Amino acid sequence: MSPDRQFTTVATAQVLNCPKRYSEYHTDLVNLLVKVVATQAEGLSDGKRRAEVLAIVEAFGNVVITKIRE
Amino acid sequence: MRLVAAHIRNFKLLEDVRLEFSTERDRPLTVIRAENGSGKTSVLYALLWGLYGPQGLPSGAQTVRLTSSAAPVGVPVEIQVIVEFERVEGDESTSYRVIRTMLETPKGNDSFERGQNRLRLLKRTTSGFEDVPGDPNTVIAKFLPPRLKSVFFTDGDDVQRFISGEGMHGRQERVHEAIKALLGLDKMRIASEDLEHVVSKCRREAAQSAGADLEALERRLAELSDQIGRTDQELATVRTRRQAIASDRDAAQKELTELRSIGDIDAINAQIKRLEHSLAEFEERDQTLLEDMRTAISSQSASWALAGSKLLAGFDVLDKLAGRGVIPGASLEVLVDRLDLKKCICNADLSDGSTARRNVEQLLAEQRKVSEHRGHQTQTFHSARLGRAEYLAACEGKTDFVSQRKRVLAAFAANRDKIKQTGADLEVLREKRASIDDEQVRRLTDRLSNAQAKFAEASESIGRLETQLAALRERHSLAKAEYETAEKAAKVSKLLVTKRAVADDLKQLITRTLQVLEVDHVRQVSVRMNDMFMGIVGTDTAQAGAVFQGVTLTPEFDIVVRAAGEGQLDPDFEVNGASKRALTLSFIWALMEVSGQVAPRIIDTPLGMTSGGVKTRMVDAITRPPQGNSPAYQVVLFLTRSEISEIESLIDDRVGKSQTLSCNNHYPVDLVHKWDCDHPIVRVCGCTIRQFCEVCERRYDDAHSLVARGGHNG
Amino acid sequence: MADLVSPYVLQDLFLPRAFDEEFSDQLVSRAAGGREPFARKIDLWWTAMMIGVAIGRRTPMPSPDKLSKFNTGAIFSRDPWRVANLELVALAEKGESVIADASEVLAIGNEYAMTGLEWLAEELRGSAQPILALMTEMNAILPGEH
Repeated sequence: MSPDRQFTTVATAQVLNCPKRYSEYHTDLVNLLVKVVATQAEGLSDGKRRAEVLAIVEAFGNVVITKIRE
Repeated sequence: MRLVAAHIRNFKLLEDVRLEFSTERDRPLTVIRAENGSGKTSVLYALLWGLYGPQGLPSGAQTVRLTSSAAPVGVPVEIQVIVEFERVEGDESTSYRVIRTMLETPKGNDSFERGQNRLRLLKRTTSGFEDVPGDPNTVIAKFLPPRLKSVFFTDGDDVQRFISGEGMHGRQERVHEAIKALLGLDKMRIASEDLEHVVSKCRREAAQSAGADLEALERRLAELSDQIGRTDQELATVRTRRQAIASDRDAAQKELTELRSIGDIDAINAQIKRLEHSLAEFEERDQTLLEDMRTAISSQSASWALAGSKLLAGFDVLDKLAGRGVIPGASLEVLVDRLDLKKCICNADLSDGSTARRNVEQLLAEQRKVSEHRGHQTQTFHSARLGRAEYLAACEGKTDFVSQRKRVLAAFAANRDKIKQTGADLEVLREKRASIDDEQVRRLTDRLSNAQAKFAEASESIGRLETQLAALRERHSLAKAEYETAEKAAKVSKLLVTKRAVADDLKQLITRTLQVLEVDHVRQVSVRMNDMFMGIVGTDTAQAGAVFQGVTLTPEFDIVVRAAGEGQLDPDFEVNGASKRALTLSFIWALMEVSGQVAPRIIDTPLGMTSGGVKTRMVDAITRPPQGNSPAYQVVLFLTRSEISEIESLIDDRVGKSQTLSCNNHYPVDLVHKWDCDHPIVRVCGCTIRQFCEVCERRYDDAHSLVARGGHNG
Repeated sequence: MADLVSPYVLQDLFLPRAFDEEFSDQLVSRAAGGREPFARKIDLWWTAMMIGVAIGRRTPMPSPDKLSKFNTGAIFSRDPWRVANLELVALAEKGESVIADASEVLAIGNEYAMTGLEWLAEELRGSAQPILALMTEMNAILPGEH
């Protein structure tokens, strides 16, 4: 199993310990985590990368709010 | 990532060498047969240079010229290495080509001028090979991280040194680095820190919007997080420092034990002193015995021993005179003495007026009338009679000269033996003492004692910091709960709360995932490593006095070798060369399997120090085709003929591609045929392990039952 | 016992000059703890004489110009038993009347001493440890030991 796949497999198991804010929250969270890790491949500085992670989280925050309201 | 082919030009003696590597799943092995000095190391270095540039080479080789020593001075030479490889991503396989080129101009005396090395990375597309966007070094580093090159590209001795050579601390570091890199754990750690940063930012934003109270709680939470971070960092630093101290302590202990095994210096000094004293006594006795001999030689006893019969004959003459009464039975002096003492020799009373006294006085008067000559004879007779009596008594009592001589000579010889033996013993002890450098013992003892004190100090710090950290974490947990309660009560905007909660969820998720991966992976690697290692050496009876029970990768990233009877073997000193290699290869193979990392494993002469069953089992283990869903892998072994010996059939079963490297420097001593080339060069031919040709045939190929292959390429 | 010695007090004692020059340093020394077998030349002469008696042969004295005097008979006063033993040897050779003539007694002793000195020269020449050599080589001449 590739490192990436292993990571996804373990994250999928561990996400069950997180609150389920809506029905697909766990799946979305794992996918989001993969995206956060993937920001490192872009060769950005720490500051820029963190800004990108913040943007990802904020965007997802909006999605979560919407999904919770539905 | 798997190598497909390489084309090396003008790298050392590799003027124009093309190599192909097996990418077959069921035949993962590529064999490059090459004797020592045939360019194996050059091929290894060429691949490293091609992929990573000069920094890819071992530190000692980075400043060495790369052109052949036969290259003419002043003429620029273009060095080029092209590596073709493929990467499997998902179900797709993509082919790449790395081309690294550099001009080097030899300047004489091994100096040179070098141009910049130019690197291109191309990817095969439907329209042919195209340059990959971005920095090729970065992309290559992503495919095959440079810090793992010593894991993937190695020679047999490096394999051995991975496990041992710098003590436990060095080994743990190497193992931890390999695990982190191959399991990609660093990426997760960075993501975790990024998310922590985002969590703090979101929380601050939420707090700011809610007012001073919440802000204050948030600041407190942030401070606690910072403190936890700093304490964690400090703890890691102290732990690392303690590891280093432990290594130093163990090294000092080992050195001291080795010195002390020569012998306890104080005990040796005491022994030397005793022996010196004994030697002095023996030497004194030697002198005494010589003096005894001298005294004995000049004694009356010696005279009687030498001339006894003559002396007795002379005594007889006087004795007969005494018998005839010609000389008196008692000397004049004796008679006078007895009269003075008033007692005869026979105890008769010679008091004044006694009859006996009168008789003696008469005898005395008669004696005085005897001639002077008789008087002298009398003197001689009485002196000789005394001497004779003493001699006879001495003979009876074994105190005569003959007995004494025997005794003193025996005693002298025995004493001389003792002197010799004691001298020899002293020499041995003095040599022993000389080999124990007192100063060094003192230094090591100090060093050990300091290290022990520092270790205790570091342990104490660790204990303190761990307690501090636990307390901080608890306070953080409480502060977080307090903050969240306050946040709810403060009616902060839902969006801000949600953002912070999501960031928190992500942070928790990655933390847990990381923990599981580390622990879980370490355990998996440990199990797989143990299986493979025991399969290779499990029945190794060459390991004197110890039977392997198993090997474990500990949570502290150390490799522990368990021996019979609950004991452990120190890989640095108690595991033989073959087993060390088996251990390292088992670890690397296990790590690769567990991590699913597909990377070429290239080993130069891996089988030194192995033979028989261990050799066969080792090659079997590292070339066995993957089972089931296990990823395909690639192993490239550079092997000499003697390494190949005994495992030809096994190699035949596993090999997908074979080549042979030869160097014309070995003509005529080892190579049979002269090449059409007037300078040293390495050539490759397509000969398998069973073949020879005009390029690679060597004088003792008969011994390996090789057959001729028609023609040659290279 | 003084009477035993007095006939010999004025008699001279000699060693062959060649022997004296070659061997005395090697064989005679007053110092204790040395390698020399004899403390005094009289001890050397005496042992040589007894060795000569053990060998059973008398050797004529060299001519006076080949002799060097090392002492007089007065030296016997330290060990008067030597006079008695010397006279016993002479008595065994020549009978009861010989001890009336001290010079004749001494002549017999000297001739035996010459034999003994020859033997000592032979056995001890160049020896690094003459005491030991003498004690060992005596084995060959001690009656009943060989």
